[in-house]
Amino acid sequence: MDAEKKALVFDVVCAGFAPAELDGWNALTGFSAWSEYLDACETIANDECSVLTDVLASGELMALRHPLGFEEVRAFAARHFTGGLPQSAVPVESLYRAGASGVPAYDGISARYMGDLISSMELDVPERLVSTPDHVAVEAGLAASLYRSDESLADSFVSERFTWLADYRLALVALHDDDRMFFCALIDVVLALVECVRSRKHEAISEINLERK
Amino acid sequence: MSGNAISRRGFLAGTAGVIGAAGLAGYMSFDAWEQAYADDSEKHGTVSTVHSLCNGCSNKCGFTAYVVDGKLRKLIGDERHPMAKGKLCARGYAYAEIAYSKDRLTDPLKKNDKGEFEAISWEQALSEIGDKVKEIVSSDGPGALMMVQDPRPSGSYYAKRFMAALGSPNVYTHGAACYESRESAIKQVIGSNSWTSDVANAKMTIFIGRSYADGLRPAALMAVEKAHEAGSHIVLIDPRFTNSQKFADEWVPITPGTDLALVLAMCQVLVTEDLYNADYVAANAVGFDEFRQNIAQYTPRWAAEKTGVDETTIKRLAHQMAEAAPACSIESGWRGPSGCQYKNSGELARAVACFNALLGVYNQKGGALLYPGVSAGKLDETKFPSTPKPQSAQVGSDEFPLAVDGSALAAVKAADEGKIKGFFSYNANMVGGYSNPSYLASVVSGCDLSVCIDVQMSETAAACQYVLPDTSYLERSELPAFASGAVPSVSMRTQVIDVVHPNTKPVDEIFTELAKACGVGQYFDFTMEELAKAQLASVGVDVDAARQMGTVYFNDKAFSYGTTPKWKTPTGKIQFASDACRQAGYEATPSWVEPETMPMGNELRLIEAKQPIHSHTMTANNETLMGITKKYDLTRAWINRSFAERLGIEDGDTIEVSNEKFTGTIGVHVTDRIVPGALYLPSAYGVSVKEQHTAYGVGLRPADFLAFNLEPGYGSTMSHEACVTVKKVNA
Repeated sequence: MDAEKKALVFDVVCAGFAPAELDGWNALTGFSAWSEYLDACETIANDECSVLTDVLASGELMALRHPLGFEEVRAFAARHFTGGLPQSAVPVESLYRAGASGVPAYDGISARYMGDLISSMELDVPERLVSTPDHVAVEAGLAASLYRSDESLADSFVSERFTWLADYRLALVALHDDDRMFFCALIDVVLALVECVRSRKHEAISEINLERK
Repeated sequence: MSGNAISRRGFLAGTAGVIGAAGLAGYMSFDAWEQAYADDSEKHGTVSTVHSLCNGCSNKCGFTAYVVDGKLRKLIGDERHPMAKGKLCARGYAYAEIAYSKDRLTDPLKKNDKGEFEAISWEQALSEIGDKVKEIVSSDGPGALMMVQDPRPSGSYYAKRFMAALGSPNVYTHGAACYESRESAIKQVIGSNSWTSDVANAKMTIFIGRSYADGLRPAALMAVEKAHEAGSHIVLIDPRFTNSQKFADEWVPITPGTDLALVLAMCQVLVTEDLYNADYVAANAVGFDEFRQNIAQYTPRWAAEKTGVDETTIKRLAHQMAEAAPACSIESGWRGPSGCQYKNSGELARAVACFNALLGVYNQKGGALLYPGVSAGKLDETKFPSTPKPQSAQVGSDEFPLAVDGSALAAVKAADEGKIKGFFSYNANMVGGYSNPSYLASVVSGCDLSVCIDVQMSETAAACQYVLPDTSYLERSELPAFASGAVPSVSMRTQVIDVVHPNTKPVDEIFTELAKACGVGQYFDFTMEELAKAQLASVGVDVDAARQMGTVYFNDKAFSYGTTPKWKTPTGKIQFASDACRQAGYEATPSWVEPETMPMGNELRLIEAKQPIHSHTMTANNETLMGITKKYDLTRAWINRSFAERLGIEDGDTIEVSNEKFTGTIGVHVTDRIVPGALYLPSAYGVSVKEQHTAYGVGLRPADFLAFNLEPGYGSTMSHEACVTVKKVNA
């Protein structure tokens, strides 16, 4: 699979779940740039990722054909990506894994891992995301950077890090907001990609084991 | 490239996206990381300790936090702290989870046109609130603003200063739903708001509606444990045999709302049988002749009919106290029957204060102690300028003239009448339980401006237009907390962990920025640290030393037994008769007042009280504490066994509890530990905001059954003046 195309998939997730500025979002969702993203999804699907093929063919991904505008993305984040509300769906991994006390809470083990990883790789995270290093935007941003640097490390990271998005998707679906389907679609692409990466990783391990026998 | 992009340190924006070899060398898979670094102490070994104060209730017990690389790992109660004495209760340990709670408020919020909250920037929030405040002040004056705050070291100072800077006198605590009647009425008698019963050294102590084992303060619990072990006679006068039973010698079951009759009769016994300390009364009191004349009517026989306590017991208790004097007292209570629960709460508090005066127990070993306190001295006016004097009287002060701190609920009434236009709340969930929540929510949401500052979405926050996210208590340092005591002290809350959510702010910053937005920033031209340093310096304490020690004592102001208190009453004496009470519509001397309601037929009086693991609904959203609740089914109502049998109700049944205000179902515990005429509900449950995922939908809320109705003269909520019917509803 094309590493740059995989990076682009994570770029879009990064921007979508922590909308930063109008120009950046418009650049990402302009006709040609967005076509490039959709093309990246299809290329990955054709490149032996049948799961993604199925996902792309499903009606749920119609939302991807027409990306939300920046104001819609910003408003969605203001309603749902902020904490403490009944319609909160804050995209932080710790909130979707049971902590030491058995209950999801900020600053779980995933946050500690991501914090240490970012520090050891000497990377910087935007200030507003520093306290939640396991925010999906940070994880996706790191995935994108890794795909542009070392595909095999990126695959390793992606296969470990994004399985929580399945539970997070359930939280998104439960929101009373039509725009949720756009964000669900972004998640669906990532989940399909993750499954593909994990399958290929298991196949590779199986082959190695067969050779050893 | 997204504005969220991870970037290589030192890279310019726009060239990021690729990680170089050095960065890649730092990569570690999660599995490898977990194996190597699962235990923080093994990895880093950097442990620091810092003193702070619990925020799980108003006791503010001091503790030492053990922090490993910025993460809180352990809490241990501070031996030096006068409330903690080396211990923390369950709330003290568990409430620390609030810092990382999934339900934390992370951003300023504003209600949109559909009534839904959405995040806005601090700039927008402050600007809009500031504009609205200026508009209200311009059209209606600063007296149209009110603030309710549950006192904490910084919050108490900054909330009051903010309102004072605007010219509003309308700052209230939660007192109207807690201690207002008690403190105000006691002040009428002895000039101080309360006393501390010297339980540990007493021969006998009577508790009226108060349980040290439920409204938990570690030091107080240790005192009653010590007293019990020393053979002190501990008496619990209560409709329920509470968890303090472990330290009690005697439970006197009493009809709720009639404690006043019991105390009046006990006074009558002391006076008519000449068992009181006549020399003490002559030397220290005024109004005794009027008191003696009035008390004669309150015979033990009369009281027995009112209270359900037989007259032999009433006389015996009075005799035993007289014999134990001066090493005895009736404990002052807290939020119970003298605090806010009945139409006669204030009169009960007065009667109790008079009873103790009759026996001359004030400042005697084993008696009722008026501890000295310390507060910050005068500060540099140029740096910390005084705020202007308010132009109007506090709202509610005319209708409730006896309320020492004022009544927040009186201000709510004024808001309902359109006299209050702007509502502020800090760390206080008025809507959630001070009185009927539906009514309070409607009044708050009807204000032109409503702002709540809190860490999670409470019922009060949900009713407001704007919600501003506070840091948790662990994420900030605060002003010194001065406390009275056997040796007065000052304790420090010092920041334990870094701010978890970058868009939250500590209370001092919030009020400073609000003040600037409202045009009164000149009164906040200092940092919290500068103020803390100045306050401590004014009493001869170094701020760094105070933070290092946690608690500093003022040994030169230590209490001594036998010192005659300074009676800070208008007469300079103990007042058995009060002109202020007379002017407020009461008899000059403590007199019987019927409760507002009495159960009729199959009705039960609804009573509520704290459990040791919860501070009303404030802690209900805590997973660990709610886990204890669920494990032991602590939401259950209590009903008397004989009464339950009449209604065919058995232990473990589900009952429907109903009155004209509310109907709800709950599990029931059938027990002999409650009098027949009462139904008990714990005060911690029934949270009605979905944002509190753990608390929502668990249990019933006693306040839902309560009508909005305030105690004459004091403005307290009369939280037990509700009657209900019950019936079994399970199959």
